[in-house]
Amino acid sequence: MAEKSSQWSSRVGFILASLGMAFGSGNIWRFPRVVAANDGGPFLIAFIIANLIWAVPLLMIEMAMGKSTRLGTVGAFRNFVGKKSTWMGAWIGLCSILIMFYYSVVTGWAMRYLVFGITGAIKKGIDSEAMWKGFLSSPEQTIVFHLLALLVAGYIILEGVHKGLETANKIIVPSIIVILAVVMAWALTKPGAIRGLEYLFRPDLAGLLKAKTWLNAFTQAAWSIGAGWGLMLTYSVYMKEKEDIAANSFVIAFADSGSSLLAGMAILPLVFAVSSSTEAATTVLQSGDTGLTFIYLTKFFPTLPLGSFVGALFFLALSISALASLLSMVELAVRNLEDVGINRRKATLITVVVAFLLGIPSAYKVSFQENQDMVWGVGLLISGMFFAYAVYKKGIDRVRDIVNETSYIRVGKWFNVCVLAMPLIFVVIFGWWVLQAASLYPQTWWNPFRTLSPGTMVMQWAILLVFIILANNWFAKKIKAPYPESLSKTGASDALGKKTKRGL
Amino acid sequence: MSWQAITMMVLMIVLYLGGLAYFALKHEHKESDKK
Repeated sequence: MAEKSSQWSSRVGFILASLGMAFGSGNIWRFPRVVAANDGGPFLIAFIIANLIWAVPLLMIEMAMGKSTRLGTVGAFRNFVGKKSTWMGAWIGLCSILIMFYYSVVTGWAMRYLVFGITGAIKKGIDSEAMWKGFLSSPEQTIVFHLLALLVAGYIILEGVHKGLETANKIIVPSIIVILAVVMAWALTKPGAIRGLEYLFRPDLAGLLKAKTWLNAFTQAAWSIGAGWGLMLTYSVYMKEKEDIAANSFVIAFADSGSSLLAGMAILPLVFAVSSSTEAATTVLQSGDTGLTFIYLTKFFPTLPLGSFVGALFFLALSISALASLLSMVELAVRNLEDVGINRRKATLITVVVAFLLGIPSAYKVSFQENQDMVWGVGLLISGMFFAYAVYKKGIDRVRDIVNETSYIRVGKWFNVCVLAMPLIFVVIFGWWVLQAASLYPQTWWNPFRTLSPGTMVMQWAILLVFIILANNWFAKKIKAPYPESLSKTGASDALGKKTKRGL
Repeated sequence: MSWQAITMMVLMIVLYLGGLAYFALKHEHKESDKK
């Protein structure tokens, strides 16, 4: 169980750390691309609604579980839901840890491009495609930067919650906002840039009637804020007793969405300023996350005045935003290890070494990284469902009581509606993603050895599920914190055996 | 830039930043209530 000394020093410290967790590379390279492909304005409306329906309730659930149990994902499920559900906490934790293995590789890519920017390698006339392909086909570089990302993250985690995580995020998060604002202001001074803003804010409200707009909005909401990943639960372990769950959940959701909007207002004007037509700009935006960032933006920056300098700034923002998200994943692993009695120093060392070794295949081969991204990215939706299950098992009203206990804004019955709607939303989004994956390989979609196929997703999930379900009792026994008496006697699921407002 | 796009931009900025400010200030209100 977390020691009382390991706490965020203030509400601002907690929110900035949570924003660092939420604001990752997906906000910078995915959001602008997705909003552009989904009619602009209607997507922005659908996105904020999706955040309020899916992400905000999940943030509240995670905060309630972390704060009331003071344990990482595995221990939190044992003490909040019951011993038999410990494996669900293990799924959530392992899903995020498996993402950490390749996310440190992605952080390394951003760091490499920051070095390219600082050393002046991003210059006019550069063959950015050759640069990107050359970097990816050089395992010694990708592995070294993967290690560098983990070493930096490990050092910060080792410094502790207050001195390490909080201090780092107090520098990182405001820096990202300032840099993106500078990139936006710079881009908007370029001729033609205003077309990018017009494209971003297309007011064609008919887009709200398209299923694709909503599916993409809910997907972005599920991945962008990091709700349902167990990361918010981990950070909430260090919350102060009287910290406001409801207001903080809304602040994090709106701040993350606002930062994504800022990234869109920086990148789309830049893409339009250097593109001869809307069609040319659309082609660039359809080139995928890494294609847009590492090929096109790398080529575009130096073609404009002061571009090389602004390009270096942009890659600095990308590097530190990815690092802040990586920090939360490392902390999640360390928290779970601390819960089984391993000290923080040893837990950090184990996490960094294991993440380095198991991240090597992703650093070595980009197709492996892409496959892992698909498998565990979609797997996160299952994690979200496990949180919803925890609430059903505990009682939706009782969880709402925990949220309301220290919240100034009273969370009403709408919370119940959102939680009840989660399985439906899950089935639709999950089904849509699996069908999309199946459409890539109509003949061989079932093949478990075909990358990006539903077959490989199901096989990898099944392997993990079999392992964690068989090891459920072992996981439950390993947690050092006491098991709540109320759970062992009655099977009721009152966190830490405390009586709630409803007198249960 | 068309007036419709400008309107959408203003509305979205007000919605995103307004939501953030509203919930941040709600908490400040709570703090001042305690005093």
